[in-house]
Amino acid sequence: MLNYLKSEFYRVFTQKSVYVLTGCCLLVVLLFNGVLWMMANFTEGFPWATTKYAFSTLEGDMHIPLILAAVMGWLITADELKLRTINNSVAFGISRRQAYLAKVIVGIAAAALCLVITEAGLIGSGYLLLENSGAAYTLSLLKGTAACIPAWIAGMTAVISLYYVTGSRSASLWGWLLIIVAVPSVVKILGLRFDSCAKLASWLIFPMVSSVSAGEEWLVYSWSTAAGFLKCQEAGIIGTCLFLVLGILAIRRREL
Amino acid sequence: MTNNNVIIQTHQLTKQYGQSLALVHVDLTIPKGSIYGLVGNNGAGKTTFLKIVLGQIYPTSGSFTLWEAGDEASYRKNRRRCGAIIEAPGFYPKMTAAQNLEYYRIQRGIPGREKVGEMLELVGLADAAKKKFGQMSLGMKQRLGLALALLGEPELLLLDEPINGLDPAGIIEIRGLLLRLNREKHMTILISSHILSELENMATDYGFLSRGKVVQQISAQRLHELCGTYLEIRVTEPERYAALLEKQLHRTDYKVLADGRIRIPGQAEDAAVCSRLAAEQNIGLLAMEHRQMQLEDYYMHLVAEQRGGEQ
Repeated sequence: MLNYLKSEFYRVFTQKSVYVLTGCCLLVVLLFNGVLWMMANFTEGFPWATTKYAFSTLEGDMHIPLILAAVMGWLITADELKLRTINNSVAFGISRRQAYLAKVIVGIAAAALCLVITEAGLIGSGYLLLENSGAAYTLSLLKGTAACIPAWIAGMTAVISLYYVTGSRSASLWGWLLIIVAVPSVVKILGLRFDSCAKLASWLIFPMVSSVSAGEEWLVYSWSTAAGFLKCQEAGIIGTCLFLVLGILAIRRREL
Repeated sequence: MTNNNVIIQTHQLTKQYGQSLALVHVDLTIPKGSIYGLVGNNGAGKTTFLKIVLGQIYPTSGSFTLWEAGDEASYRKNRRRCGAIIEAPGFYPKMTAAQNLEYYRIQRGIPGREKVGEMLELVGLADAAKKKFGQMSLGMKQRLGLALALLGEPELLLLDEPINGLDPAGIIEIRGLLLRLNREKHMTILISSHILSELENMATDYGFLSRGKVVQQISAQRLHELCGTYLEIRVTEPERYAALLEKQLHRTDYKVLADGRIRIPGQAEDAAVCSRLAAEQNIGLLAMEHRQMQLEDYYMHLVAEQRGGEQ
């Protein structure tokens, strides 16, 4: 397993895709803060050039990192069923379960790198360019990130699992959109009318990470309370476990 | 009972895809140290057999052992003693030849980065080390596949149509390399092909497959004895001549082909007897040739016999 893991790290980090994705994410947050800074300099009384606004924007859109995590998982699989690279590994006696778990671990590492760089870019450029609204908003962003990490891992595990279930990269993305985004969104809408659907939606990762409402002072997220924070983590861990099992079953059954 | 001289042994191995049977009760034994030619037409079940041995697909029924290992853990462990190219070699197209091999070197825990260069040198790809796999020709891809198969000096090499895409010089080179590995490193080589002439100068044992069934397992030595030489005769009245062969020369080992040619096992000296028989009976002798039966002919003969038996 360790050797397989090392080889996957070698593969992923000698190719451009992870760096390109990370670079794009960093560029977007830098541009975002840069635009706010420019607006503050050229528009009198512009109220949004603050770290409060910049950091809350990401915190209110935690479904975007979820989507990016899925993209990262999609990149990690590298269509190895079609390329038959996994055949070489299996022929050499590497167990399918180990190969699958190694992919997930490398995906988590690559996504973590992307996340750290992007958030560091957002926070660093925020403090450099924007009006400092206080540490509370930085801490809130970091708390939100910590709450959502298991959900993002679940999202990434889902796309890797669905690749081994469907055998196709495009089908895995469509499947992911259906299972992670579309169905939970419908359940959430139904939840406006049916309590059981509302309860179910509160455990589904996409509605959970994209849930934001206006509070008395500022925005309220699913993880704003201690119980909500824990629930976010539980939902993410349960989702990760479910998709891990699905992926292992799929890769074990698959004929290469 | 243990047998250290056997690397792969299958027992009634069967693989079914939907309604079609790719392998039917296959019993094959691959001896240690052999170059085993797995011969069969397209769709005979050669690749299916190799994929089962390498754990890429699962048999529907039957069993097999790899170095005596039957249980999953030791079977998987023993697969580490194998090198293989099955179907098209699988590599990452955006990685170079050297990066692809390095990836697998790390994965297999083979010490020494220099191994990658050595393997590329061995298969004649030293100059293409920095070429991306996606930009390589079919022959280069095949060579890289062979480099991967040889990485880590396996004891058993499983090669599925390894000369596909190679030019004639490349075929000779690879054949020489395989013979050298077998001779010097005692590597057992299981090589599948439908181009029988490529196996003829190499294989020490053969397994003939047709429609998923083993038609025959035979040593190269025995095969050469069986192939032997024959006379091929064309006469104006093949049926009457055939009857005379039986009646006057007491030969029943002849064969009348669909186009009327008659094949009689024998040496050049038998030609005089056969031509005299035609002359005495006023049968026109149109042509007579002394020929050596090729591996292809032998295989086709076996397949025809099997199909005849099935009908």
